[in-house]
Amino acid sequence: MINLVLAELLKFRTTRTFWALAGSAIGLVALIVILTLAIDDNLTSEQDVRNLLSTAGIYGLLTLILGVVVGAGEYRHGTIAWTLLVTPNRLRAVGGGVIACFLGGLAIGVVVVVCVAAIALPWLAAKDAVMPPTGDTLQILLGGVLYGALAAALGSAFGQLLRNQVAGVVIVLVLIFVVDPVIAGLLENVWQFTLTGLGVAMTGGDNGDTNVLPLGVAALVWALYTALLTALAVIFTSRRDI
Amino acid sequence: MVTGVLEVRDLTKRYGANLAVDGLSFKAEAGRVLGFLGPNGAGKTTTLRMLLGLTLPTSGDAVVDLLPYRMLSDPIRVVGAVLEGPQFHPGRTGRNHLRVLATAAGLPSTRVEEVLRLVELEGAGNKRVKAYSLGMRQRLSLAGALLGDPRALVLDEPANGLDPQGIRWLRDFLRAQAAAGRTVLVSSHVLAEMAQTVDEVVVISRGRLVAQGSLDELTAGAEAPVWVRSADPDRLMAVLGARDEVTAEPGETAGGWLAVRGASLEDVGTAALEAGVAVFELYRPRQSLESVFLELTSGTEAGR
Repeated sequence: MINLVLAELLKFRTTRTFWALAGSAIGLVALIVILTLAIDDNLTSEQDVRNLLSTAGIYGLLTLILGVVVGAGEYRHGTIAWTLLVTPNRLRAVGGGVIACFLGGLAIGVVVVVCVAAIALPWLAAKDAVMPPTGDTLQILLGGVLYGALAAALGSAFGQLLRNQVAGVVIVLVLIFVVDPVIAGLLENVWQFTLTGLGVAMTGGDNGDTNVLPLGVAALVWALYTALLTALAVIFTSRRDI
Repeated sequence: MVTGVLEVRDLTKRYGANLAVDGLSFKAEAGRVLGFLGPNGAGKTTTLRMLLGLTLPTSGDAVVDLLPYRMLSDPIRVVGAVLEGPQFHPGRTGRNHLRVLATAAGLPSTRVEEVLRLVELEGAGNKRVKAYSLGMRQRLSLAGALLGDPRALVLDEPANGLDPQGIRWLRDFLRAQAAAGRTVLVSSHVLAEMAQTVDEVVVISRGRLVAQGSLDELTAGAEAPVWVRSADPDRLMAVLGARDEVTAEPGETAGGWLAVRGASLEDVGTAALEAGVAVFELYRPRQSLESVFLELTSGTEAGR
């Protein structure tokens, strides 16, 4: 399994898609943080600082898309046949892709969080902003890393299940930007289990809202979603003709 | 023990109302090149993909060393495969494509360089695949098949896109692989090329087996007469005509030719010796693989 995951990681590193999406995630988060710090003069309360630091979580959306693109990309380019010739066990083949995406998302997340911390913390100190307790700050940043990694894993499982990059990305965007807000408006208690609700819980961008799950529980629910999609992808990949 | 013997037993694949493969059975043995022939749409690719675990059979078995491909613990060392129209990530280099496969299989990176050299792609290894010609992609595909130094090779139209030198290289390569004790199962529509490469052939049409045997058996033209040119055709005709189930009659061309039916080359030669008739020429015309193929498949294709 280690060889398989290493091979999947090598696939990331040897195409431009991964680097383009990783660079976009890092650049986008850095840009948001810099602009917020430069423009917003009222960034002084602890909650403002929490919101700024949780901006790192936005890269989770990009790693989610990265996972979908990578997972379904094997089918788009036809390289899935090579993968299954070397690893005919579908559980190992699908699982290897999911784990590799988790690790890829984790790596991007670490870079993003380091960037956010390097830019924001000295700048906030210079503004005399009220910082959250160190433990809370670390939780927000590490929660962002975890969210990005889990998002990439879920994206990979979904991409391998759906096999179509465009459809996969569109469905993910509709879920996050259409379905989740509707649920938030209509079913407040269900929203905390949506992708957005879980993402907010993990990245600490809850604005003090008590209607979000604790970080650990949110991560567990997200992992369960990923496990379910992975199981479905394994079953369908086993039964489909390639 | 890994022998690389490939076998399909009563293999059937149905797509809705279409029966793509219908109760097909054959075996490819170690040390032989088995040609897998059939018209377009005959079910060759479907059969090979079932053998490789990429397509699920509706019924029957396709096994490697008695195991379905999906059950092989280390398949890259048992079977190397070239699929028809091999696909690659266009943005990945040929070398990196092979590195990915080698890493997944736990093979050293030195093996990647070896197979690149073997297929004569070492100079193009760092080019992205989108810059490869069809022939280069075919060679890269073959390099992927050879990575694990497998006991068997399953090749679906491997000559597609190769230039004449490449085709000759492939022929010599496949013969060498068989001579080294490997099993080689190769499908192709280039019949003249196959005739020079294979030891045995399996011919299918509309998913069904229509002929199987050694190339010699199929092209021997068992129904064709033995032609003999001798010093005394009348005497030889009388001697042969006296034998049970043997008929001999003068050929249409002049020069003492006889057309003998119901006898082998050995029978005619022995009869001539016993009759004291000098023989100048003796042969049975062989059919080309192409004519045998067209003859075998014309009946089944007519109903399409």
